Amino acid sequence: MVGFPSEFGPKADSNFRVLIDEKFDGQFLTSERIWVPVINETIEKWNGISGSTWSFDTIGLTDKAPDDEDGETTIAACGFQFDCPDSVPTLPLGTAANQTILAVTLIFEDDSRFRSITDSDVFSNPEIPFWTQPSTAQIDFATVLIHELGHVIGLGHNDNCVVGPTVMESVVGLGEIRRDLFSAETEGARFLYPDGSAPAIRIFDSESTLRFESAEGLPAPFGQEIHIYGVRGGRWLSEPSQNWVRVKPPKGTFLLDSQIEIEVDTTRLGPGDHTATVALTLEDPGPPPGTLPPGIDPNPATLAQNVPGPPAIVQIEVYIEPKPAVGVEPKLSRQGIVNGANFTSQSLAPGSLFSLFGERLGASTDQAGAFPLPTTLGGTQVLVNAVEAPLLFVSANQINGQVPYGIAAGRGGFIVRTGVGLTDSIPIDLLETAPELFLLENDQAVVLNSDFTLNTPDNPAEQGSKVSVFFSGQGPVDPPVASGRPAPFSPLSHVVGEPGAEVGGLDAKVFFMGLTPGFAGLAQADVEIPTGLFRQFPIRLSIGGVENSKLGFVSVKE
Amino acid sequence: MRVIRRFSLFLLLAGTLAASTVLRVNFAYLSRSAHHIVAGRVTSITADKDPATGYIFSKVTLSVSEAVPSSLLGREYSFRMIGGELEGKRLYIADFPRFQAGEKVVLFLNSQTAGVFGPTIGLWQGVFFVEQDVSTGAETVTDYKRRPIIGVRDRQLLRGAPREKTSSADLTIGGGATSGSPANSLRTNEFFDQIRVHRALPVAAVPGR
Repeated sequence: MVGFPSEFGPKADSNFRVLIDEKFDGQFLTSERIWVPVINETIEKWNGISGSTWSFDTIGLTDKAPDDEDGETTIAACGFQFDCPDSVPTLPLGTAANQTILAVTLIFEDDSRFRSITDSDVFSNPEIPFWTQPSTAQIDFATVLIHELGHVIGLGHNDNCVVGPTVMESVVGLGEIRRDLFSAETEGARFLYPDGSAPAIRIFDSESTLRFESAEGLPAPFGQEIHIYGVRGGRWLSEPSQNWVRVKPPKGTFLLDSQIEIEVDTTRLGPGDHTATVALTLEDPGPPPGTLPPGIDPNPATLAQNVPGPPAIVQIEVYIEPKPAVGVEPKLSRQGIVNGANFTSQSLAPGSLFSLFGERLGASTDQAGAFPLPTTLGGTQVLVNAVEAPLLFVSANQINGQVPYGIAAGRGGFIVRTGVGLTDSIPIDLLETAPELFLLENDQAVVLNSDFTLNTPDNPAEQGSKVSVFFSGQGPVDPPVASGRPAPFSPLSHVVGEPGAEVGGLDAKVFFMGLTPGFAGLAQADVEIPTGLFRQFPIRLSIGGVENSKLGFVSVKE
Repeated sequence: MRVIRRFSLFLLLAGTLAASTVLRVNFAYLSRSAHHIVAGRVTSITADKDPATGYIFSKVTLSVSEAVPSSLLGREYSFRMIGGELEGKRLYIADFPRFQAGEKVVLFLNSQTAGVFGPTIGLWQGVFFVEQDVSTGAETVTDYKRRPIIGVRDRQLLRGAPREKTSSADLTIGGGATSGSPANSLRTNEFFDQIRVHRALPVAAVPGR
């Protein structure tokens, strides 16, 4: 994963002249006289990054106030309205109102579409007890400065986004030292200011190899989406190595990242393994001003950073299952159609998650990778009353999916279709609503306590607290959600029928019952645990009077 | 044998883009240290060039619907802060949230808002947004990254997953962020109840503990 570009475009000339506030040259805040060497050393950390053209040129000391239009970076000892103090700030930290902010970087950007950085200035907070060799009650100045200089070149915070150490984390702790760049930052500098030695287009690592599987005689599988990104304004092109590979769209312009879909026409391939590549490159050279397409600014930064480098490569692997011998058609067990929440109840309703069990149901093990959920997965389809069902998981013996919305309640049938043939139609009675709880071992219901930890006998809910109970089989919802699509966060989709809940035989207040946002086919009931209960109690949900057929249990604190 | 296979309920990873370093502050510190805590709708934002410094500054005006202390309640309140957009050019404290006219915010304001270190306690840590659920009309509070605030425990805010963009794999069982539905998010009045409780607590020596 690349370092994280901020919302600003890169600086056009890959360089800032740096001025250092002359107050640092002397006994600023401490008796130490090593501030300027520390600053210079920190600045140098950003210079000479392999693969990046970025450089800071340190001009020297200045007595000039920072200016947002001088095109230079000033490292200021104090902000305006903050006179530099004559003594070390008081401890402990936090006793003064402004002792929570260590430093800020002000970034000035031009008025072009791509918002190039034209000026950046760094202000350290004079109320913070900075030190160059900090104790556990002090803040390391170099750790803060190297971070701020990252902002100066156009990197943003990467809190919670980078695994491992990074200097661009926004929070610095007492005594904490991070004075060296880590891979996220160096990669970020290469991304924003490439020298042409590495691909200028990046592919999310997990998507640089795509695998397609199909079987002889089956239609081509769905395309797969990947995310690529490059410096804003860069125009990219794709070039597949084989004519059975198609990229949609085949070219485009980065506004930061782009999503492309890669399809393979497996109907043109024989059984066995096949490989191909898609090369992604930036146009070289960037088009001169005046020939840019409509809507693209002739921004110097756009052109300066349009260094193509070698192509980024997407590897494509395809496997075509040979047509099997006759007599191995899929077989669906008569008792093998169950509610996906607990695998025991056969109660299903439109929108329910289901599980099917049988033999030779899938040529391979496969699971859906994105919304909307596919209706063909690993070459397998499930027809519910002749309507293709969205699928989550397929293997030889088990299929998980969602009963399509829009199917009328009543007598219905399930058919599994593979590349070999069809199963018999297995009859089932579809209900209007069929709420069934997700269950764990010992019939423990899947319930999240008010602190969002899993409810267990060792982690019971408080009496009177709100918990979330997860189930499937909610039936019709308002507003409706399409089959295989995730439920929206706003507005929430509520069950249409009258919601009810009981815990331990006592009525429980229902705050919300409907689809869980961001998921397909999953529903939740947010209910209040009645007071007066403790230990384990059965929980029952109802929608329009229809209750879950299999009880689940919730644990309540004494 | 039936293999219990979890339903993989996945979403595309949400890209996160993200300048300034801060000490982490807890909710009690935010509540205790803020000069004013105001909730209200942003009614106007105007920018000018500060003659003293040459930097762009903005005047942000709120129609105050809730406040601690309550002296600002029901009034129009304006504060001045560094940054803004003027004649197409923009100046910002990197990563500080942008305010937009019409949106509702909760701000933990410094006594001096126009300094280079931003208008709020702990920069973005002192900025919250108020969102209205269209189905229930409930107004609930999110942090600056639009993660719903679902409670306060041990002086720390509990947050759910962002409502607009979610990265999630499988049904998260055993902790982690949840969807933060309006039913379990703090409403604005509940959030201010917590502010009043925590404003009465003594401030810890270190802001984040």
